[in-house]
Amino acid sequence: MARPDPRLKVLFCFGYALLVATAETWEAVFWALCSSFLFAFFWRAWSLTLLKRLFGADFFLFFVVFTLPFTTAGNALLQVGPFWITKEGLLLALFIFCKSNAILLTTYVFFARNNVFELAHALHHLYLPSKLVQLLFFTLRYLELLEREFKRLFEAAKLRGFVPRTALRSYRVWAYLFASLFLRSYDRSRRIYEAMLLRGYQGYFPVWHHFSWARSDFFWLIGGSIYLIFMAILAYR
Amino acid sequence: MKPLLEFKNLSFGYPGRPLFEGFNFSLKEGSRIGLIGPNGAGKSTLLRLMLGLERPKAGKIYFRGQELKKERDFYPVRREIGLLFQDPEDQLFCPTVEEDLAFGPLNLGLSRQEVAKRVAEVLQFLGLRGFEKRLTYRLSGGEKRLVALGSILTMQPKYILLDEPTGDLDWKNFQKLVSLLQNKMTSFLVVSHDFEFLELVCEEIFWLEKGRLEPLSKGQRRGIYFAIK
Repeated sequence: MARPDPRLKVLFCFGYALLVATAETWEAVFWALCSSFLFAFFWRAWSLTLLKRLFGADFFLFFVVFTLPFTTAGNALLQVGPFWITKEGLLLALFIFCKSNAILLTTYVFFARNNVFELAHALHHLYLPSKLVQLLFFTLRYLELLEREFKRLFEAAKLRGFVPRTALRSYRVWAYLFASLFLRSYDRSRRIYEAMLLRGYQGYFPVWHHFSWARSDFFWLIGGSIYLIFMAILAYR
Repeated sequence: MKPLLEFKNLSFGYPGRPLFEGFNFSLKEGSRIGLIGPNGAGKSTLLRLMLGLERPKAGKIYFRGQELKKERDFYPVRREIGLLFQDPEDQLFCPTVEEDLAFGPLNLGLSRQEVAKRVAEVLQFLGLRGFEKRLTYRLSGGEKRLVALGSILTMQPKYILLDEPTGDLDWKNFQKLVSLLQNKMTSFLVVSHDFEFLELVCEEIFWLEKGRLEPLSKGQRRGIYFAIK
C-alpha cells in the first residue's frame, strides 16, 4: 500500500495505537483486532514473513503476560503446584495479548511497503526531533548490515573449526565475536556518517520522490478520522 | 595557478604511531596524481586530512588560499573535493541507486529538475542507465563501486580523491574505470597498490613512506614497471 501519504499513515497509526493501548472495553479491542485482520486482507499483507514476525513478537509477549494469571487477585480457577490461576488474571493477560497483536498487525500492514527513508522523512515533517529520527533511521537501516556482519564473523569462526558448545571456551569465543561485532559496527557507523557529511548532510533527510498531497488522501484522512472517532467512543464508553 | 589545497608544515599521528612531521603538499586543479606506498604509510589518512575528517596536530591547511580551522571551514572543501571510500559498502546508504545519487545534490539545496538532470547525466556517464530503481545492497561489488563514484560525481566536484578504487573490479569494470579516468576526468588523486593502474591513468606518481612524499622519476617508474612484469 503506497498511496496514503506517509505522514497520514504515521498519524493514523499513532492515534490507533494510543486508542487501542488505553482502551478499557472488550468491544473496542475486539473491533480493533477485527479491523486489523481486515486491513491485512484488504492490502494483501498476509505472507509467511508476516506470520513469522508476528510469531516472534508473540513469543516475547508471552513471557510478559505469562505471570499475570498467577499474580492477579480474583476467583481461583485452577491450581498449579502451590500457585492459583485466577479468572481475572487470565482475562487480563488475554486482553493485553489481543491489544498488542492488533497494534502490531496494523502498524506492519501500514508500513510494510514504505522504505525507511520515507518514514524518516515523514517524521521530520511531523516535527519529531532530528536526533530521534536519525536514531530510528540508523537502527532500521543497519540491523540487516549487522546481521550480515555477524554471519560473516561466525562463518569465519566456523571455518576454523569452531563448534558452539556449552563450555567455557565456547563462551569466550562468543564474547570475542560479539566484541568484534560491536567494534566493527561502531567503525562502520562512523564511516557512514562521514560519507554523509562529505555529501553535505546537515541533519536532514531529503527524499528524492517528494510526498505530494493527492486528492485520494482526503478520502483517507476522512475515513481514518471517522474510524478513530468510532474507536474512541467504543474504547471509553 | 594557485593550488586548490595546500598543506604547510603539517604534523599528524595516531597515538603511538607518528605519521607526518613538517609535511608539505599541494593539490592543483587539472592534475592527475597517483599515490603509492607501503601499508600503513598514511595514504588514506592523507585523504582524510584533506577533507577535515582528521585534524592535524600542528601546521596549516589552505583551501584556495584560505586557512581552514573549524569544522565549518571544511564545508566548501567537501563540496568541491569528492572522496571515493575504500569500501563502497560504507558509502551507499539509500535504498535505491537514484536516491543515493540524489542525496548529495539534494543536500546542496538544488531544485528537483536540476537534481534529476544530474542523476540522469551521471548514470549515462557511468554507463549505468536502467539502474535507477535497483536496490543498492543487491548490486555486485563492481556495480557498487561505480554507483559510489556516481554518488560523488552528482556533487560535481572540482577534484576527486579515490582510495583503492580497483579492489573489487572485474576486468570489464576495470577497463571502464581506466577509460573514464583517462578520457573524461581531468583532476584526481588515486591511492592504489596497483602500479600498472597508476601508470595507465596518472601523470605524476608519488611514493609515500615514513611521512615523506617522493615523486617517482620516469626512470624509476620504468624500473618498477619492469620489476613487476
